[in-house]
Amino acid sequence: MGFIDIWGEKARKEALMTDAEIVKLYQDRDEAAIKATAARYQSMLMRVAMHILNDREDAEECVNDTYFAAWNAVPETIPSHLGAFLCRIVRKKAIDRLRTNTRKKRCGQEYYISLEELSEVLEGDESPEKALDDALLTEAIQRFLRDQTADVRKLFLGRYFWFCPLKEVANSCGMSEANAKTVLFRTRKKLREFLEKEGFMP
Amino acid sequence: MKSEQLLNALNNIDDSLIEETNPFQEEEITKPVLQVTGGTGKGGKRKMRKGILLVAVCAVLLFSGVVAYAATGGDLLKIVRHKGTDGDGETTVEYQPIEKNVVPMSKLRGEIQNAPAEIKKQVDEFNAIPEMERMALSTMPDVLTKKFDTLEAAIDYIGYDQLNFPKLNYPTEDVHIDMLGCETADGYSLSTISLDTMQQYRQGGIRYCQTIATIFTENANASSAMILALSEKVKLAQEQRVADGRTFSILHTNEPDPYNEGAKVLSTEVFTTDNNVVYLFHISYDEANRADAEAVIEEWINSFSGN
Repeated sequence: MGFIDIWGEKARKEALMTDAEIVKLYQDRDEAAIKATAARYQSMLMRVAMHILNDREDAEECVNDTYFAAWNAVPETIPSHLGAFLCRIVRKKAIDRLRTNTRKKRCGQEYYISLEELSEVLEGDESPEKALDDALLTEAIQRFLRDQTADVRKLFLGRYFWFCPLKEVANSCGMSEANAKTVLFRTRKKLREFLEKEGFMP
Repeated sequence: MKSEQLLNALNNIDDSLIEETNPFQEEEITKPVLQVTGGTGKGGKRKMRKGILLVAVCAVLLFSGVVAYAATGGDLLKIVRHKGTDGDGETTVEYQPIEKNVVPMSKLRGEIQNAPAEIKKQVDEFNAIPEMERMALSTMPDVLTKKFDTLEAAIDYIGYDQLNFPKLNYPTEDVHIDMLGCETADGYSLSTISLDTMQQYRQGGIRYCQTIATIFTENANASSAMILALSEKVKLAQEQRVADGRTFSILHTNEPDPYNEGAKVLSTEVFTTDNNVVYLFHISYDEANRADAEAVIEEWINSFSGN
């Protein structure tokens, strides 16, 4: 039985395409770009969406919307890291969908747990829309994260960007759940202090 | 809302931070492989092979594949160690390039001539499924598998008069043919045909041996070869035997292969070619029963002489 060939030349090519090759397909407006993107990133995108939405059907729709968004975006935007570019889209789409869903029903546990944990970082009376400039906040968070160790970054973003359950993210960093919890608590505290110092807090 | 602001700000962080912390990195490029084997990941071919390997070795299966084959000094077996980062590498064993061993489709006179049409139908049906649903399926539309009650029925189905499939007098548990279809200028055809049998050669502490006859047609990739994948550090011993003018390349594992989880057995693979058909024999055995296995190997080798 063939071990790679079994997929046929075409499927194999799509599965093994590099980011640059896939982006080129988008630029050429070749619909094979969607298939190649799915072959390479579908599994990852589904997991990101599932962590936020906890609903397979919704997650699939978000992933489909992500391909569509990428299709529309790429002629003008050339992503340097296709995976990160797609993750950012699917994450945003999943969060938007979750907000819509929440009006009807509370779900997407990991998102809300992350939200609750982060609520201690930004406190104060002033509304964040007024107090914070999103771009500056992103830039400050990046600086903060780059000053942390690789493990802390992985843990923090694993939890708050990728919305992985605590157990999963602890495992991926080779930590116990309790240890990961402590590190996250300390990191949130440090982030709060950092943002205060940077003038983001009243 | 404030924490949402933070989560939103995180959405715009640098690509490099996203990539660095991606917990799902191992799952990129997985889809087709997941469908075949039940899972693997980026890191490409090596990991893909390992995933397949777990299935293949457990099922005592060998498979042909596409490799860049470089014959070395007339050796029939090419053994390559692929080092992993943590003992997770593998050893591949490649047997003969196929350009010397092609059987044209026109030489196959059995019902197998209908297989391309069946595969085409499978592919058409598969393609009719919405793309997103297709991706979730584990179907391999371009592969057709046929099961048979007897070895003779399988041989008749292929209808190749030069197919000298070794017949061992042991209970046969599974006879099937895997056919890999491909598109050609004239429509659909077959590129690889594997007739596979599993036989129980010992009753107490059941042990199996397996023979796979593989026919590469003119549609097969010219660089294809038989490939066996084992774990990185498995100890191997090679030998060649000649019987009745035919060369047999033999590979013994000198200790149980860690890939073969739970099965603390040794194994021997025998490769040979006859009338452009590539034959592979696999047998597993306990250290204590090495002599019994050796007798079965000899029986298999000698069975070619009787054909």
